[in-house]
Amino acid sequence: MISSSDILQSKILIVDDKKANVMLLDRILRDAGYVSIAATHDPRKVCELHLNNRYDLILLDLVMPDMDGFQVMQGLKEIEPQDWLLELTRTYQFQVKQGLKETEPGGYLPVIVITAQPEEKLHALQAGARDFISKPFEPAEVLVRVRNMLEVRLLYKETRSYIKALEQKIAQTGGETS
Amino acid sequence: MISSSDILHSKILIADDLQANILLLERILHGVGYDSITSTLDSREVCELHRKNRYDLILLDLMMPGMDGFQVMEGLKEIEPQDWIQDLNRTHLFQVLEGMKETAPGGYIPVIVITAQPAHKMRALEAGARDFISKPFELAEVLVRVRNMLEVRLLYKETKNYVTALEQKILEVEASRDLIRRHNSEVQHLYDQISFMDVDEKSASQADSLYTMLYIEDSPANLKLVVQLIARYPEISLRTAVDGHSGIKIARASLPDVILMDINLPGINGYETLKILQSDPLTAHIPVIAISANTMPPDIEKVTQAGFFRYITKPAKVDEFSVALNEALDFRDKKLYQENKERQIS
Repeated sequence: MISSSDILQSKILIVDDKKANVMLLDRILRDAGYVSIAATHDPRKVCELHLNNRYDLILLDLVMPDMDGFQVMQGLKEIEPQDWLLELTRTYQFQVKQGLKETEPGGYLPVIVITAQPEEKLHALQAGARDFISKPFEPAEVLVRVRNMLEVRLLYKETRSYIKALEQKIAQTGGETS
Repeated sequence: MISSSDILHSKILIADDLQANILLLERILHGVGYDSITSTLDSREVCELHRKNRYDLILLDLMMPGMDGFQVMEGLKEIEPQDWIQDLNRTHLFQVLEGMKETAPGGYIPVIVITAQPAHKMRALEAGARDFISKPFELAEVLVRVRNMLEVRLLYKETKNYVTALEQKILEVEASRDLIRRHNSEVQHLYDQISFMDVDEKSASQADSLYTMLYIEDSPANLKLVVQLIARYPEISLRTAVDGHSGIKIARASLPDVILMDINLPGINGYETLKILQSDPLTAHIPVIAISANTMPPDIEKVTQAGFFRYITKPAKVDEFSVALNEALDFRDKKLYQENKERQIS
């Protein structure tokens, strides 16, 4: 399995009311080398936690007492900025080159939902989750889903800072970036 | 489900030995708008097809007769270039900015394997597959795996294009900056040469100076030296001329209090110039100090006999210069005093 050390630095939050699940996921991730793993049993805390820590990825159990996963996602949507592909589109004037993309409005949720129910999967995706992991967990599946998600995020972050640096350089030498 | 129209144009290849599977997958993908789907029942065709068409995504059944999925992946690895993150690193100098990344070597193959057997999943990932879809197919699973995969590919492509365009722009801007810089230094050089000749323009603006001196000199070096010397006399403003004829013109027009003249001038020399100045009632009274490189005694005699007020040798010594200058200005003062007196009387 390929993983760069940067991906392993990513900040992950596990949200599951069952302690056993949290421990298992934590173990799977740590064995693979991830170093920054946080967890909470209380879904009501998730939004605040994300506001303070800006996780790169949230593993979210859908079925929890008090507040279910869908409500959590709704809350997260309000914190997160625009869909990052859309943000990328706006920020870097892709739309000038490519035409305005048809993307749904709403936040980019770095969320993978944990679910046993097939019907929930579609629902979760429509609510904005980026992917899902089935129960019972399979280590291989957990790791590949997590890895793929973080890879995108990392790529996005890296290219964004590189592009910023280039645009700044152009501005310094007196050119225009349009 | 979020999907941009660009993702929907991605090139997808389905490789499965069961026609029913192909049809089902095509149906699922077409249903959400993917419009560029190819398929094959023969695993041995996959590598060749990919070499020709460079698909964005290959959905690969692991269990196919002939060549199995693992062998196909081996073949694909040889076609594909380096891991694309590494590719990005090299091409766009990420490594310069961020430091070398530790990514495993090997080709990046855009493959999602289709498998019913859990045991194969691990093996497939190790063989280079990016993800897997289980059988029997689940609508949500197929769509999200495909979507996530293509999103990365698309992001990579788009940013690569944009970064290339920016890098190109930087090269252009730097090139034109160099051109402007070179241009500016040429202009500056020309300007330096011209402004040297304009010293008299500058000194003419010193309206509040007491005395005016005219310096007739063709050598810029000597001119510069005298300009520096005169700078110590704020009461003297300096005008210059580069040869005898223009010197005479300026003398007639501005009536300086003293003239400093290089004896060796182009055109008419110092002696001739002096003659003309002294034959003109307008300028005859002006004391003329000669500067010459010749230091032999006969020349000094010649100079004084010709009518020069004083004589100094090049390079002008400061004391010698100020003595001669002061004497000339005293002379001027006395003359003026006399003229005034005469005017009052008459």
